Amino acid sequence: MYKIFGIRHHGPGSASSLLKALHDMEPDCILVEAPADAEPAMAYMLHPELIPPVAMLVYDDKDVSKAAYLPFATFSPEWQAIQFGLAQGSEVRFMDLPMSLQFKLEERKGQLKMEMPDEREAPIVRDPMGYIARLAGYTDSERWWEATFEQTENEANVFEAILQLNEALRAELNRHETPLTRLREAYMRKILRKAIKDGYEKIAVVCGAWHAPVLHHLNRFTQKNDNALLKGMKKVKTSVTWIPWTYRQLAFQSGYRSGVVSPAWYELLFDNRVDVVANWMSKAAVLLRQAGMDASAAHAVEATRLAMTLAALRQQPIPGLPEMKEAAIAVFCGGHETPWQLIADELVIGHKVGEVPGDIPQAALQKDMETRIRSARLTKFYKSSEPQTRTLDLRKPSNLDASHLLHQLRVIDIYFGTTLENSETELGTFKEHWRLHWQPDFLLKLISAGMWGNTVRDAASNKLVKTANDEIALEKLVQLAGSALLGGMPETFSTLSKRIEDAAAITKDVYSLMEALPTLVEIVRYGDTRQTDIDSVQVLIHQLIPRVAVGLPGAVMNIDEEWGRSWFQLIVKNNHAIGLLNSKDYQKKWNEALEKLMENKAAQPLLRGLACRMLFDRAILSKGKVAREMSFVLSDTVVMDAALWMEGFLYGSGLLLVHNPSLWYILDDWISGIPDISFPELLPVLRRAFSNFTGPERAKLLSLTRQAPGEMTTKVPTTDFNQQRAKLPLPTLKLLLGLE
Amino acid sequence: MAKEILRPHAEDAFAKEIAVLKELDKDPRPVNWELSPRAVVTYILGGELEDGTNISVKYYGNRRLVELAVATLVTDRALMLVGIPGTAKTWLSEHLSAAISGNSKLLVQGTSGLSEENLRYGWNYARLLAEGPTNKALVPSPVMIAMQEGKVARVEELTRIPSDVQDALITALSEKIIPIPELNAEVQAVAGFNLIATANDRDRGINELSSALRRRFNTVVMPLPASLEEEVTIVKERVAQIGQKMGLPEQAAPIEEIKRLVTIFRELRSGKTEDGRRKIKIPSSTLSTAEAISVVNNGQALATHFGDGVIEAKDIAAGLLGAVVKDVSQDRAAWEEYLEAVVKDRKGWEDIYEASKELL
Repeated sequence: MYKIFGIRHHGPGSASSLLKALHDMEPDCILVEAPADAEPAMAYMLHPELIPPVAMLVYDDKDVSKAAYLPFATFSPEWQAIQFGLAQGSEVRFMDLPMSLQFKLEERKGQLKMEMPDEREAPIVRDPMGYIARLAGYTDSERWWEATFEQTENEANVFEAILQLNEALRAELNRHETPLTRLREAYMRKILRKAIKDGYEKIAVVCGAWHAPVLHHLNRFTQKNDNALLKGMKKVKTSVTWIPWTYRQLAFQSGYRSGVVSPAWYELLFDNRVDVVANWMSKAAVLLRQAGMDASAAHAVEATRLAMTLAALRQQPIPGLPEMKEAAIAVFCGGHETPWQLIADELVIGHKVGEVPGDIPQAALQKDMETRIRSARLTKFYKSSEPQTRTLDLRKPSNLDASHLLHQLRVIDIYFGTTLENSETELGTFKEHWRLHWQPDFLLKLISAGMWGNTVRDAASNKLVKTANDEIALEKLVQLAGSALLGGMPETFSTLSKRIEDAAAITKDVYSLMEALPTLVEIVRYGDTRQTDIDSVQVLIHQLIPRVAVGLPGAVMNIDEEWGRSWFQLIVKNNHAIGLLNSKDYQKKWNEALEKLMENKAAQPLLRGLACRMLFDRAILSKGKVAREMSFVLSDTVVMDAALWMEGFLYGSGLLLVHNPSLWYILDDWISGIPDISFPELLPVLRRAFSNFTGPERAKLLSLTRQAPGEMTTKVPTTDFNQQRAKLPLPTLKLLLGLE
Repeated sequence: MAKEILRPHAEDAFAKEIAVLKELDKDPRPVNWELSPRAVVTYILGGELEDGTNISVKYYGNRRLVELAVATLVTDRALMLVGIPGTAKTWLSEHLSAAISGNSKLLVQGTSGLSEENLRYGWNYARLLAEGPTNKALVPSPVMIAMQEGKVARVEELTRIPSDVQDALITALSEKIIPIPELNAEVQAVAGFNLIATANDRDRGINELSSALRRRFNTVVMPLPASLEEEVTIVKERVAQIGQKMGLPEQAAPIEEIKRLVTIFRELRSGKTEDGRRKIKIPSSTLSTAEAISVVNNGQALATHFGDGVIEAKDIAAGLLGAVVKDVSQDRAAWEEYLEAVVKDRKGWEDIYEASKELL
């Protein structure tokens, strides 16, 4: 005799009905819909340290990138069924098509394989009960379950009804099952036949509701046909292990059975379905109080009543999650959703994290990471609970590996290492300073990163590529490219540079192009030290510089001072970056752009001054020309513009004025000519222009003001100059400068 | 000739609908309710009844929100409707009380000069002097009457009432009594009593509710219409209704004109164009749906009495300027910028651009 229990995956209602039914039936054998080759993991199911939510991880021994997760919560019917069977000492078997066959079946190159078989099924197949609930007008399928099945007196009737419902549903849809589903169902029947043959008399079959009919009518399928279907299938070797899972992953992560939107709510439903509304509202009150808001027990009472009334108004016997939420917002949060967001996560999804006994083998990604940590000689940092620092010399291969590993881990959100300041800016050097601190919750991040790949490197590069594909902001993409290089993942580079190119092509915004350029230049320079292929970036820079040069003079027209200051920083950075490239061609284009900017009367004066200064520093403009430009600008009737120009021009250093008396006099004249009424207005700008200079510079400038015109040329003291003493340091200087 | 009432109470204007709903209503009614909660929801949201009677739509918008409001009134918690001006708070509260109690007249209009007497009871001083404190000398407030009769009372603009006066409501809402120490008596609320308050969360200088009072209310935030289509429908329907009362010809409201107007309102309100491509300065004015309705009405009146009866851009432009520019220094700039940046280049909007520029 066998009996089919069609369940809802992760359905708390299903789980409690199933438990009652199993108690009544007292089966001697329980068959559970789970890959047959995951059975070894059952050995740990009664281990006291195995605390849900946990997941079975089945993976291909040879190619760890093929893996499937089977998560369980306490309210999962499968979990309850297995626990029940093991505790009673009955035989428990897994009956679904082994992953060893499915992996072989699904051999598609380069694809991430982590989904459970059900993932590929249509939603209606995955959760037929949810589908029916929605047909019945319920937004919360658990409430439908409750309303429909909880009141029935005989628990056995529940599963009878589910069987019939699904039979009708399957007949009505008359849908061609996918080859995979047909294989799986054939395999399940095979296991069921075997259990019968083995002489078990009371067999309980726990499977997804959709499969119930084809298992119930075993006689409609011949053993011969089923075996023929399964014949000749190839398989790979798989391993299985337990890993801790979280409610968050249960709620959001793709890749296994039906999604659970609200694990914390389900847990409450499973533990205490009688007073679930009151319980939930009390919990909300406690959480709100912790968040610093007024929420009394009286509030909880009112919210409970409102939720009940609302459900009645909507003709539902019991409030569902939507009613609970609306009632809670109206009563606790004064109608506003913001405070609710603070607690919704905890209340609906929950922060519960599962635990796995220490004596269980680990996940593939973790294995890979630990191997690499060992080979990079970072084990002592990994085992330490205190933060420590480590300096890596990137010229040593093992240190380079360590650096790559740390950067890759950062890409998958595991901040084992943080680079200390100045190493970020000194991309061109061989040294990297790290602060290393391993925290236990990184393990969870590692597990969730399992969705990206089963080696650290694969995971990081897959995630980079995915992020890059979803990202359109040029600046962000350039940052990603930076991470790719730091992590030594040139394989991602074709995608990244393509994306950057696309983003750069569509952006008309010179500002963002200029934000990208310095980073790209850093990458090129840095790539040299790291022996990484950077041709594509060079091509990109080659395209970007002319665009920046063409766009810049026009982009800074008619902008206000504040915006002008952001441009100021950007131009300084780009000027530096282009200088580093050491290419005459680029420099020429950039200089031309600066010249146009300088001459563009509509451009922000601050920037025009800066451009003039940069050209002067590079000796593109002669002293005479600069003096002409300066006196022209300072003759401007708008004194504010003139002052801003001055600030831009004097950027960095005032020595310029000390050594060029002609410029000094122009400035001197101008300042003396400013009408009294405008002077207070200009003072802040002038002060800003001069305050950046060093103390000695300012002292020198001050002394200049005391001198009368004409004296200045004789300023350098010639008396008391001891030739003998001046010659003494020369040999050392020559040595230092490498002149000998 | 019988005098025509400019604006009849909801229970009078929709007496027929309420009667039919009452007749067909099979669901259980809370004590002293005219209709069952479900029928109240139907009355507000409209729909066709089983006998073919068409119930007009009173409130366009979220069904869940109306259900939440009605459910609140079923429990003995008071209902607070919060929102910026023109989101139909008062409108909804009037119709809710009309449908539940058949009486929307038990109304206290909140002002900063309101005293406790208006929320509890006052005295007829002539009588008080002549007879001393007696029941006859007592003048009950609408809230007190609602308690005695088991009806829904309404307090408009609760947050405009000074805080110490607001707190007079606490005993009425929590203990459901109003004590009258002068007579050594009290008024106890009859089942069916409840209170709907409205409050505006836009204005400055409002009197925040004390947390003791806040706790007696369930709050429902009234949103602005979610989509352009929804808002256009509201404006169209309301314009037609108001136009009838004002004796304006029964011409179909020019849908294109309404659409343009609502688009302008929505864009200025949200600070970006409908296609989300362009940022716009937000003026200080509220720009609610109600304002849009009055602009169209205004335009219709202008067109009827001074124009050829067809609403044109110039009829709208006048009202538009008044609606957008509330604070001359700031809003004017915002409006001008919007005209230049958005309206000018929009195809087919030249007329409204011209008309608006002329008025500036």
